[in-house]
Amino acid sequence: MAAFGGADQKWLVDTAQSLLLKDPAAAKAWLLTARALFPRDFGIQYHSYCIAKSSPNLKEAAKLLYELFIHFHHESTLWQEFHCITIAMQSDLSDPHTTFLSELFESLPSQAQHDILLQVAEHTKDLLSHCKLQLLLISKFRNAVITHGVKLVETLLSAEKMQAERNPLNCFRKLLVCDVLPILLSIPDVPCSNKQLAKWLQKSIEFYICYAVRPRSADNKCATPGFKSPLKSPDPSTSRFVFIEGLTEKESTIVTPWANLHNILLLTSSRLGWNTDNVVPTDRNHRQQWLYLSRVYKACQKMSDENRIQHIKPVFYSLIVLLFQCLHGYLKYKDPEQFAVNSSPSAQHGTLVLLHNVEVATKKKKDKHEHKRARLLDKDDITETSKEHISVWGMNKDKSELLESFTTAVICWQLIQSDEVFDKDFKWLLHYWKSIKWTWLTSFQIDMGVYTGDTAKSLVMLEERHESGEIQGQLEACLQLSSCFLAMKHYQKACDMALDAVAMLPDSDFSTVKSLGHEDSKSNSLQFVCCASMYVLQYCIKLILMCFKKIFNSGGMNEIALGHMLVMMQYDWPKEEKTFRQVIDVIMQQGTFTYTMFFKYVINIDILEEVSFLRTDDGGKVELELLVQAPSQHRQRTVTRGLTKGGEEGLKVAMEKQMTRYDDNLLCLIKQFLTEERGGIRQAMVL
Amino acid sequence: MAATMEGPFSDPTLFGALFELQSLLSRTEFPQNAKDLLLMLSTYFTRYEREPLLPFRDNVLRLIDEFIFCCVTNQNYYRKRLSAVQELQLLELLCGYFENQPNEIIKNAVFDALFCFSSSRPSEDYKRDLLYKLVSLAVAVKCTSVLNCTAVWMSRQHLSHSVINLAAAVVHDYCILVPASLTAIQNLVEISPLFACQFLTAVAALYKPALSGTPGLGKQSSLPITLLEVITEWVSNYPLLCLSSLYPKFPNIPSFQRTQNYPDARTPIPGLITCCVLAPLNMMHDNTELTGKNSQLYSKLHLGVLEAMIAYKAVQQSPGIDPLLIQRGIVSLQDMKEIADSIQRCRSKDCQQGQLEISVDRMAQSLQLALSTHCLVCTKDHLKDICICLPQTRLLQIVLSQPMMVR
Repeated sequence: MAAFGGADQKWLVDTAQSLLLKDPAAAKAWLLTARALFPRDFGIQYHSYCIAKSSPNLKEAAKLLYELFIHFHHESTLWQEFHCITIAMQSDLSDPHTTFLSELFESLPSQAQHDILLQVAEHTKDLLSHCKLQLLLISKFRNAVITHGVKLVETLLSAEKMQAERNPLNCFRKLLVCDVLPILLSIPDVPCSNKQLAKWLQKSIEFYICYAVRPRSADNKCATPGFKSPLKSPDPSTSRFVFIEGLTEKESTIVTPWANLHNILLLTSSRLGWNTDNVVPTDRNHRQQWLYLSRVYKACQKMSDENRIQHIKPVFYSLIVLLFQCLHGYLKYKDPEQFAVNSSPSAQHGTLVLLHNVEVATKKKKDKHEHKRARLLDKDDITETSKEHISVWGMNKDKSELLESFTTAVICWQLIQSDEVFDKDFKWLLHYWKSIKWTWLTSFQIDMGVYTGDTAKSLVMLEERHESGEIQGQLEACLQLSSCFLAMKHYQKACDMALDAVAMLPDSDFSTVKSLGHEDSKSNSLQFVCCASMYVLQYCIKLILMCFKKIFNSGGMNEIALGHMLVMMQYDWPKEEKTFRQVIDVIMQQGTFTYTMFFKYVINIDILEEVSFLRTDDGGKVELELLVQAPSQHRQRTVTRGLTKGGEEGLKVAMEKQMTRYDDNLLCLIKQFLTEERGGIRQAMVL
Repeated sequence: MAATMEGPFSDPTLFGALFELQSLLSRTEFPQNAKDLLLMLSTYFTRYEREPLLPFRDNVLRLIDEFIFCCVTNQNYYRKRLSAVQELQLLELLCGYFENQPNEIIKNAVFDALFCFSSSRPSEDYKRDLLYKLVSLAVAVKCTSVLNCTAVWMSRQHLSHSVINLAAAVVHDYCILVPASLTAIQNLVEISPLFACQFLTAVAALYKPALSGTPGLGKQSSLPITLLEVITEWVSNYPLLCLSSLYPKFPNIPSFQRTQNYPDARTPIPGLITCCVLAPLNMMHDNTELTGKNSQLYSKLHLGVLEAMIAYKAVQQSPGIDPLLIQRGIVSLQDMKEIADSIQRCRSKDCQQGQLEISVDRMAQSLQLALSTHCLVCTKDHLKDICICLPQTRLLQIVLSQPMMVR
């Protein structure tokens, strides 16, 4: 507490204090007298202020505080008080004390407010608090923006560099991008260079990208212990808070990141003398924004070099903002658990992975892609047709937003790549932003390769990723690898990867089997497939069967492989009946068929009957070796004569017994087959 | 209006011909002739506003008595001729006249002429009575003009018996007779701050505690609590109210009065200090029950007075205040000495030590604030002389030992 100049001074204040409850007017009269007697005594003045504050008497307290500021500005106690007041002003709380202190500050003359904020900021050693106070200062006083604004920006930029972890989602960057820059850029008199402005814009874009697409799992790591961790609430519907270290929950929540970024882009463009008409307006959807930009881009192409830069730069940055905004939209659907902000549990689905549709002939698909890719760059008016050939499997939501976000991101990327300067600048920015850490960006690039038919490129990235052994996304990687190998006609590798994927699936009963066959699946060459076990398994079965069919059609196929095909063809029976007939024909031609896993995995009545029929005279008297060779050699030897007959009896019994298994869970059975016979299946492929 | 009046009463020199004018006015009845005479007074003051000596003084005063107040005046007696209803008619007529007279100088000059008590005429008591009734009515009907004129008139009366009795009449009507009408008094501070300020001064004099050397003229013992509440609110909420009298209004009003014809800049502050400082002793002395409420009200009033003195410090530099007054201060050494003497007298009687200390501490507080705000201008020795006989509280000692602040 404030010290007094002498015993009399203290006695006067004590007397006033003692009267405070009983007779507040008398107490005040004593304080007035004390101040009149010792006008230069800080203790008296300060205690008078404290008493007025605790009364609480706002007007009186403000008057006394102002007098303190005028006459006793060297007192450290006073600065502690000012410090408390500025803390209250920044507080989210609305308790009476905090509110009172804020109102108290507002009651001071504006010049005093300015000087107090400035001095408290200068006295504050903690960098973040210092910056927050400076922010408070420039948000209240326009003149202060001109004198202190740029300095504050530089302080924030150097403060962020001092952090151990170079994460753009830090409190200094947040203050800079969300709070300081909007104020600074809106005032034209602020002295700053074009280079600074461009740098700030790039920092802003980086921040908002990282903010928007920040995976939820990373939040848990960053959540400070004091805050309610999202981990504690198992409900995935709770909104996704991005806690930025050093900031409160409220401070680190940004409601409209993309709109904020757009605003920064507009302000920066106008400060740099760019054509702000070329900053894409946000009052339209992504597709329309793209159309706007591609038109403006074309117009710029016709311009002479000297004034082109003012027109083309905003197009470039708008494209980047649109690209990442679309990417964010796409990621929200692709991986809702990681990226979606407000998805209700009912709408939750697993990760989506972009795969080739195994029900469409690959050759035909490839042609279509070449054609598509050529079309993407040539035409502005790409409408619904561009995303027609992608279907979505396993997501209940409307797919149009996902597809629009994805395809728009792709065309933005393509436009940037097609322009030499854009491409160079963009690559530099990605490097500057250390985008190599953005695994989601690689995921997008892989999907983009799949989409544009650049399967080889996707494969390279996938293999890199697969080899780096990232646990996260391995299932997706396997599936995508498998799909790409299939497209590249590497059937063995495709099959291998699919088997790996199946091996990763947990053991569940797949009781709710949903048929793959949905109306548009056949006509589309690509599909986003949900990475839930049910969908993955079905996709893999189809893919492996497809590989077997390819080999089968090319001629060389052994008995075991034929047997495997029989097992897999049970899925979605009788869809593959045509191939089944061909297999049966081959067996008939061979006259013998040995497949000892038959009774373990074949339960389809049609197939059982057809195979049984093969034994008959009409069926071609095919010699069937379907039973597992009994472990006892002895039995085989002793009943040598009756072997065939006995074998036939056994086969018949086994067939009849197998009939009763018709309602076994087929998917479980096939999964068991793909898992347990993995080695055999792979071997069958090789031969 | 008066200057352009046509007809027999438009010539102010007519006041020179008394009988002619009397017969002219006698042609009509009251209140018409009263009205005519008021209009004539307007032209009269318009015409002679700048004359150093107003002509036809006796004639004018005689005609006012005769035709406005309807007193037949002789050397030694007057006869009242107005009925109660007519009296009310007259008061309304006067209120109307003052409300409608646009010229402030004329308005105040006429008011001064009507209530000129310096000539020891036999009709004076009756006119005084009517003045109190007029003010009482003006308070009720919120007639700002009359109240402002009254305030100017009061300031020129220099706290005379008439002024104090006027305050007593208002207090009687509004605080004692019909306490329910107290709000009319409360509103005065907004309707006519000038009057409120003069009223404060008069009330402080009226209730000057009996134990002081010169007992209150109204022989009232202590402030009615309702009135105390009102004036405490006034002083607390309007720190500048007590300073209204520092800005003299219309110092050059033509007047028939022969003495003390300048406005008095006296503020209510010395009187209020006396009330507050002596209140603890007075309440005890009067055997009044020292209720918590009463004592707290005095605390609050005391604080208000201290704040008024602080307000005075701030307005000293403002234009319109007589620099001589600033030099002299608005609280005199004599005022403070009277208070000290009163405390001293009380001290010799049996009194509670606690109450005595409160009184002395309030005295010390008032002194300190008066000194540091320059309300009181004196040397430290003067101060010590005054306080030498007082019980020495620690506060008083601190006040006396602190060096004087140089202006």
